[in-house]
Amino acid sequence: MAIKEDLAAIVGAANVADDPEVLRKYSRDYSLVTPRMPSWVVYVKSVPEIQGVVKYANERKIPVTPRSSRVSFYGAGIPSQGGIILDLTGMSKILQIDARNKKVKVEPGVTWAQVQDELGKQGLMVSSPFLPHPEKSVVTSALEREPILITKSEYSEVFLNGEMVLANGDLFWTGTAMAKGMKDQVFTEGLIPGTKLFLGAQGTLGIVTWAHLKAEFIPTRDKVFFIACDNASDIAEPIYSIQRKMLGSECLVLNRFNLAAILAEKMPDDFKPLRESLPPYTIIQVLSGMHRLPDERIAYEERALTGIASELHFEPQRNVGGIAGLDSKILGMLREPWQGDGYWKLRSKGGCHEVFFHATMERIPEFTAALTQIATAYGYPVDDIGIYFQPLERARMGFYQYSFHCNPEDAREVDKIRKLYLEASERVVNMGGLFATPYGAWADMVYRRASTYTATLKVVKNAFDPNNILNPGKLCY
Amino acid sequence: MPYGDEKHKLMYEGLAKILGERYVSDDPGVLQAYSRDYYAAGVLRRRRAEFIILPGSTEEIQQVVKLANRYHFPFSIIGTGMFFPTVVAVADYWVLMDSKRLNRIEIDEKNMYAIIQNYVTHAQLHAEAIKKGLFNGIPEAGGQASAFCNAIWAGNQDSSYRTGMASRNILGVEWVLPNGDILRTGTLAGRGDDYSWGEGPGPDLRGLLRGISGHNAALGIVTRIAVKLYPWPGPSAWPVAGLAPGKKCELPLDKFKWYLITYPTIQKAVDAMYEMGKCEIGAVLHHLPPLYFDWWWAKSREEYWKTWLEEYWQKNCKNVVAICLWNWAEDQIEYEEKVLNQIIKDTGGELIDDEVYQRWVPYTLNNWIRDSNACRWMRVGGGLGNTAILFDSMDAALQLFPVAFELMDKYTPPALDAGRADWILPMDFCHQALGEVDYVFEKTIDVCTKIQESFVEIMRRDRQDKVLNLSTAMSLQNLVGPAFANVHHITARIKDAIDPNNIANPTRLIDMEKYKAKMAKLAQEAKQEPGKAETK
Amino acid sequence: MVMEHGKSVPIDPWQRKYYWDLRKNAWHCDRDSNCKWIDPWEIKSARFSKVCPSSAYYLFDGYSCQGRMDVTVGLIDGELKQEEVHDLLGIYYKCNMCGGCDAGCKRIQDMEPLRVIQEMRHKLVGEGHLVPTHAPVMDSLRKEDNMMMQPKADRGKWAEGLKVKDLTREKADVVFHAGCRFSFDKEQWPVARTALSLLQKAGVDVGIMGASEVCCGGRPYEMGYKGEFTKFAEHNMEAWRNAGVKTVVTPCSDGYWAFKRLYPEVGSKFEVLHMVEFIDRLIKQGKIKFTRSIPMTVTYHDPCHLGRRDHVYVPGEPIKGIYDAPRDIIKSIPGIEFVEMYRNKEYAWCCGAGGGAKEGYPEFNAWTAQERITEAKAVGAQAVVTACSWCERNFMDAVKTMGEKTKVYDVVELVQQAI
Repeated sequence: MAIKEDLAAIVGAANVADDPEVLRKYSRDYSLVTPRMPSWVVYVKSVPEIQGVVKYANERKIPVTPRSSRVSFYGAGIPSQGGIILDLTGMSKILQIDARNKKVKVEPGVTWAQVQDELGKQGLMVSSPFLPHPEKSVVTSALEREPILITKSEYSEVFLNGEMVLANGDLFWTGTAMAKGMKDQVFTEGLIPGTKLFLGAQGTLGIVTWAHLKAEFIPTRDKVFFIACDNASDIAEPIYSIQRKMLGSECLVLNRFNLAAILAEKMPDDFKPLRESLPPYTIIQVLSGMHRLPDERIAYEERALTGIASELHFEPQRNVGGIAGLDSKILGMLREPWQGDGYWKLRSKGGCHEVFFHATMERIPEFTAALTQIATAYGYPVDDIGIYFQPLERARMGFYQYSFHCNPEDAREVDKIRKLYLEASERVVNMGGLFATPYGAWADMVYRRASTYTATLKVVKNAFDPNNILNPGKLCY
Repeated sequence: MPYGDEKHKLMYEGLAKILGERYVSDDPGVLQAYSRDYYAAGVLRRRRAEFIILPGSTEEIQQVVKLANRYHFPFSIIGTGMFFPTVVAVADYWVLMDSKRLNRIEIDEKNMYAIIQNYVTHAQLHAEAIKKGLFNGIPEAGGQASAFCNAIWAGNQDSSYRTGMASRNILGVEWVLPNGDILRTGTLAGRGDDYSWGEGPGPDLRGLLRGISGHNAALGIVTRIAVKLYPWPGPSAWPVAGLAPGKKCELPLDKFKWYLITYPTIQKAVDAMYEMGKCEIGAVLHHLPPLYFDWWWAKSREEYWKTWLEEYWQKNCKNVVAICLWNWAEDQIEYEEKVLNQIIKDTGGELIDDEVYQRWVPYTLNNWIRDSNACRWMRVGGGLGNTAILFDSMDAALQLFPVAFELMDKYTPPALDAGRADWILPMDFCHQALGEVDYVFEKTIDVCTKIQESFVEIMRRDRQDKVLNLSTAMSLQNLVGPAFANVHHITARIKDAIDPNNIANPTRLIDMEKYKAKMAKLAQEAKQEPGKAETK
Repeated sequence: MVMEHGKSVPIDPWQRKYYWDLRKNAWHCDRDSNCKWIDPWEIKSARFSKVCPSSAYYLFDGYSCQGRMDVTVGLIDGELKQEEVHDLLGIYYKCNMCGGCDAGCKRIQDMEPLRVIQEMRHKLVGEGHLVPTHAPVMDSLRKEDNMMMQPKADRGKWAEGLKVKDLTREKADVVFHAGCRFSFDKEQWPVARTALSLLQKAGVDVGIMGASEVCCGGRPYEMGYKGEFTKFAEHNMEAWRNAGVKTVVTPCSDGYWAFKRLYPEVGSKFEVLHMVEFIDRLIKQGKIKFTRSIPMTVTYHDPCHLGRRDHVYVPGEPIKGIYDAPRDIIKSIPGIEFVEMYRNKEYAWCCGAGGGAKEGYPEFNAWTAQERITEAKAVGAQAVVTACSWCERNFMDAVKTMGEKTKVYDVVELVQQAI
């Protein structure tokens, strides 16, 4: 077919695939989004190649779906209308590490494993979300605004700015990346339209070719505390109080299911006894010291933590469930991508579908009750729901994640989970939870309730991509 | 201004019906009061609007915008009206909205944010926030300027070392688009009463709200926002004593401790700040030039010029790093002091002379938390200029300051002697920074005309050198877009779609008439010379 | 002045050292809005943070100090013609002349914006632009020598029954000048009577002018009638000289300000004291002792003319006024719990009465007073105490209109209750 030849002329014949087996790999991911086959997969390794392919596609109105990660969980990279998959995983250079300004410049194919490994040599890291897949693109995580474990406001907004290829093949930059005469070009804001517009866009407005991301120094000393909570209603207050004192680095909440899932060395043998040994919920709070007088920092923060615990009648412990070396085990996990076998989310049954959203922390009991009620109605065991809460920016906001597990090969089970997932999602939206990144079925739920936002997004899309070739069919496009 | 003609009467009828006559004025005396500000451009470009109106709600603004679409009249809006050049009337039938009636504050203490309308000042918000153990960052404009406008238009905050750029402190946004629709972002998008989070849904339209600078109402009127608040370890009322202009503020020393450290060179001062950011100590951190010391400290012009010409501040306040340690948790200051002392030693700093410290600190330094500069520069000459307001990294500021100094030297005189007025404000623990070079000038027409040339020169140099100063960010994208990613094409498409009648502060952000004329011309040329691509 | 590069200083000496110049002052306004707010350091409540009643009530910037500066420059430079301004008089007269704007401005500027407004009023009156509602008041003033539109002959009735020197026939060291409002407002007679008695009990050689007392001229001055002011000032000074007076004591803050700050411009050398200064002195000397407790939560309202208007402008100097004496008095009364309002001392919110606003714009005047009562309530005060007859009348009227229970006292009344 002429298109394949044309694409080969841009990237080389070896870098264009239309083998159904290859295409099938890109037609689906771990989500419930309907699988759809692309027509071609194009592997790119440079910006001119990206520009060439996109320009070509734009002239012919062929959809282009960019993919930066080898793994995908939420359906953003499944082509809705066929067309080209632009595989950017081969663009995997770490272009610059700037320890002084705490930033790293990376290509889209750079994975979490790669970036943390390389940054670690200089005592740096990118602020991590919770146990990212090692093969996931760190740029994708940042673009999709994945919530980070460290609650410091100064760490938030990991994506600083970047370069991208627009639908017409032109280059575009956000923030001061557009100001080539400036030394570091690291500021998030430049001219309107600003960087924020491209976050959460799922590749529908431009294809990022490199990004500046915030990097942080890895603390030199840490002390991990665990706060056991019997009920969902016990979670928010300790977190509000601890965060209000600006204490600590990583802070997250896992229910026993999720904590067991990440700790179990062998699934399922270790999982059940572990789960039973753990409290219903565990707040994990890390206190850290940087490179100067780290122990003294931890000391005063620990005193503050103890003071709060005394007032609120909870007990920060160095262990839960009697698990040997739990603190160092957890700490190691929190600063690295997932290192165990498989992927922690999939360890239970092979398939996992998450309802995740933003809401303020004091609503944890309310949402938990609602979602467990729905799960029960579908005959899904409440104990098998994986729950993760992430305070954001010193707990001014909460990120909630409820996971429902199933065997992806069991069509009936998948169908049940799909229905549960959809109903739970509708309930979340009706209760005011925010799907900040509306993947898959969430898009309709969200956008039909936000008419002006939707209409304005379409105006923006039309401005950037009038032929609607970039990942069409996603969001409201 | 075709004041008083049929269209004027029609507009008046409509506006009065929407707002009530009390809130509509076409009195030339009243209009005169909205014709300029202190910037050179503001002084030179005085022009009266056709109407000043005082809307009282989002719905009223929406109706006015719809009326504007019906009768094709332009509009813009001011907060406290400190900064005018980008909203002053520049065409006939201009309706300028004064946001005085939009002054509500609601604070969510637990989740640390405040919902504010356009006319809420920094000091008002600060006063209410600290009652609840929270605070908001305050920019140079001062406590009496609008917190809302700072967030959506400009704005570093003096606490940016911790609280970041003002733009990243906006949560939910409610916004009347030029077509009259109401846009709501984040948690507001689905339900109209929750401002707690501003992201998305999906692509974040707050990216249209602002870049380095806001859109100045060219993409609509923002009517309500939520802004982030941060934990405040201090008293629930601002501690102040004495009478103006010599008031004293002494925050409790066990919760707030200032250090002023001098360095032999600005490079070393910047190195020290990077180290402080790396250690994540302190709550407020700046490099201050001697000019700021005199601006804030002098209570009269005479006092200002006396100490300036004696070079008191220039000799005693060289390459100063000012850092305030806060005690959010018990013993935090004790710990941070130890670290700070290590850093001072390692970076070759010296504490400022105690006499200077005592002279300056109790009367001024806590301005960084409550009131900032507050236009104190106005005491000196009356006009404020800058040859650099850059946002990038601290090192980038150092790199670009010589260019700014060169430009300042070129325009001094008529600019007044300001020394090397290089201000550096790190953001987010020194991930990013603002670098600014200020000067003052006598506010006369002749001087303003000359000063305005300096702004034009900055913008020309920025385009040539591909540097983004605030003044360039505020300029028309028609002019600057070609040097910066051709953003003007994207902006034009968006503007054209949501403001088809080109009534939202036309000629700001992008001049659509000029843009369309140029595109038409290029298209014509392309027709005549096929193969000549559209360039700029 | 040469501007040598590296030492570039302003050419205009005004920029190096402030002196009065009408146009320079108006031109130098930079629209920073400090004139609309109390000092940001002082703000304790968003609700009670404004300092300018006319800006807060009329809202348009034309009615703010900043707007008045714009209009002034516009008129002087010919950008604006008087005849084209719809509400020229309103722009300059919908203002209490309280000086809140002036205090706000001075925290960051060397400027006297209130003086700009004052001189523009003189100019307008001089050119025959008169606020229509001022006309009957001024006519009456010219005939009856008072601002209350009452017969001159009734002026002395407040002192009936009091044994006191008549300075039209006798001599004394001190003249007690009651003031127009205390003289004719029956509800307030007790304040004047008590004040005079306190002076007499302290052994002061004091007398009054009785029915021959005339207006201090301060209010007409503020209203722009400089000629009338001069007439009354000269009359008063001559009457006092004839009576051998050396010191003028008054319970009225408007009068205090006129005597202390305006009269020296026309040659006065009399010592001037407000009653609160006198009482404060007596308490500190042990000559007044309190025997009764007044269990009440009270707040003190700083009259503009006793507070910030009492200040003589020297750039850089604190905006002084009589702030401490009345507070010291109140706090020394047994049983009193004293609370400050959010806006006090040099940033006190005006009662509304000054500058001809009461005479010219009664709704605005009333609203301003009601705002203050609301503020007093907000700080938990059961009573507002002040030291000016005009403030007291405005607050009493406001309390009545609002249906509030807040009591209104003069400092003198509280002292009398506690003795």
